Amino acid sequence: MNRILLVTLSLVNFAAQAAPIKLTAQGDNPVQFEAVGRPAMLKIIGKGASAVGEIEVEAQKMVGKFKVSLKGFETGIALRDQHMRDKYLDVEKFPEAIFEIQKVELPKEWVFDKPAVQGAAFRGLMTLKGVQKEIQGEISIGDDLKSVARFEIDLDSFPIGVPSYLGATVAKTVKVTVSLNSLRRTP
Amino acid sequence: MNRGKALLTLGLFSGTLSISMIARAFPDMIRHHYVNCNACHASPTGGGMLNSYGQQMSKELLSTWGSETEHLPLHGLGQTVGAEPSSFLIGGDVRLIQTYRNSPERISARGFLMQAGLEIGASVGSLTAVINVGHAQAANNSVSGESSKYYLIYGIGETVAVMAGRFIPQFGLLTAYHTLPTRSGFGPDSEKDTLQIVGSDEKWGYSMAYARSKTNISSANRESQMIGHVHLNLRDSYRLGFSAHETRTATQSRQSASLHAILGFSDNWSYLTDFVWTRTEGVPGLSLSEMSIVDWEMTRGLHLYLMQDYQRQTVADDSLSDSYGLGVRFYPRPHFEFDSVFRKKRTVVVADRFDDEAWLLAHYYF
Repeated sequence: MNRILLVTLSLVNFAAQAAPIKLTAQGDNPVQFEAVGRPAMLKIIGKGASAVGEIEVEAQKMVGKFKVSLKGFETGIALRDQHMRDKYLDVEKFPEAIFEIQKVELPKEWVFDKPAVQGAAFRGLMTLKGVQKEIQGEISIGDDLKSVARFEIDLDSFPIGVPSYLGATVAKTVKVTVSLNSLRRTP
Repeated sequence: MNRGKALLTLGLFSGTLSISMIARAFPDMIRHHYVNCNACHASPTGGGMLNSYGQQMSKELLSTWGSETEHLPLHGLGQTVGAEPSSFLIGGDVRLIQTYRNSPERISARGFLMQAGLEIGASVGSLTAVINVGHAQAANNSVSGESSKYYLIYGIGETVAVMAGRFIPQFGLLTAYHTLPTRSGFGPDSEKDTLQIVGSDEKWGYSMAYARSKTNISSANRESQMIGHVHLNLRDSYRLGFSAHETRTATQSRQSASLHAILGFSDNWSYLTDFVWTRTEGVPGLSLSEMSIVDWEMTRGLHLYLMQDYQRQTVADDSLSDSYGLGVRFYPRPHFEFDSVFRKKRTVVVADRFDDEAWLLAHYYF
């Protein structure tokens, strides 16, 4: 009887250890994009939006999914914001972008208890204006789980058009930075 | 006072008499990540005529208020805002200034017309032509029909342009305050017949120019200049620049070097500074000019700023002049600017004390 109980407890413990770890991000997770307006090379920096979602970690496998409200982006010029939201992103019809992490190239020695890693490559998906495209980027994770993911999107891959106004035309590559400041382990 | 000192005094006094602004240049716009001037200006080195995007930004970024079409020429009368840049540009400036000076010897106040000019520009493909007509005569508040500035710009790709015509070549930090000592030789009426090549990308900018004085200047004072400039943009909001020129007249040569910075700390804080060293043939030592402006945009269109400048022309102690002051600048609506400064200014060759100076400027640009 004692042997059966011991085996059962061991199995329960093993199952608990192997269960994926869930991290949620609610709150301060700023998303910023950086575009270039040609020909004067003016920088257009969009700020104010925040990511909400979760990451799941199982051994060295990490996946995640985040939603970003596009209405939150501001670029510092009201007219430019209006064009971005209404003319190019159509935020009334497509209010959210979805950013998914499908695979992170974590070092072999990586463990969740010591999560710090710099510039790990990841692959994922970006859904914008109803169209899903693959993305690649880098993610850095701190010991306190604060993480920063950086990737680029090609505007030509999405049905956005070429943002242009009075001779200033946005270059097709846009850099995106997602700062996950509020990742917390879900009990 | 010997003849040399008398001339220096006269020069310094006449220099400060025309406390004013002339170039519509906004290097502090780097705080909004505008790293290159041609985003808003027809000229790739900035100042003067606004392009269609620049006109729009005069409402969106510069002014406190503004209606949908107010920034357009004629205040948008009968016009609509299009998404394409106009190939025909029209603009100009009218500036009126009231100055005040209080020293133990005298109190003086003077109001005069500082600028009145019309600028017309046209673009066809990679070629842009700009001409400025009208020259204010401050002495009798009149305007002559003379054209002091005109140029052709040929764009080679997105990042290089060749400019030819009569204009002020790029040197140092172009600010709106042309009487700052760092602008000596590059202020109003310093336009030269110039050939200039300008390049700029996200990080680097450069220009090289050859310039010669206008032919209506006496041959003894005619200058020829070789000028080089390079700057580095850092983090989209900061710029470090270096310029140098070699200038020759029939009897003398001088070399100047400028080290300058534009720091856009945030959307509403900026700092501009320029240090210019000059060596003049036959004059011992180096002269040094310096200026700094710290600007705080309290709310859109309303600026509070501190400005300071310093100049030591020769190794002699009495060649020192410096000033510091507080200014308020207000862009209520597109086409209108008001600028007021109170400052303490010392010109040691005149008297080793700080006198009060102030000015109020009203500027209508279109």
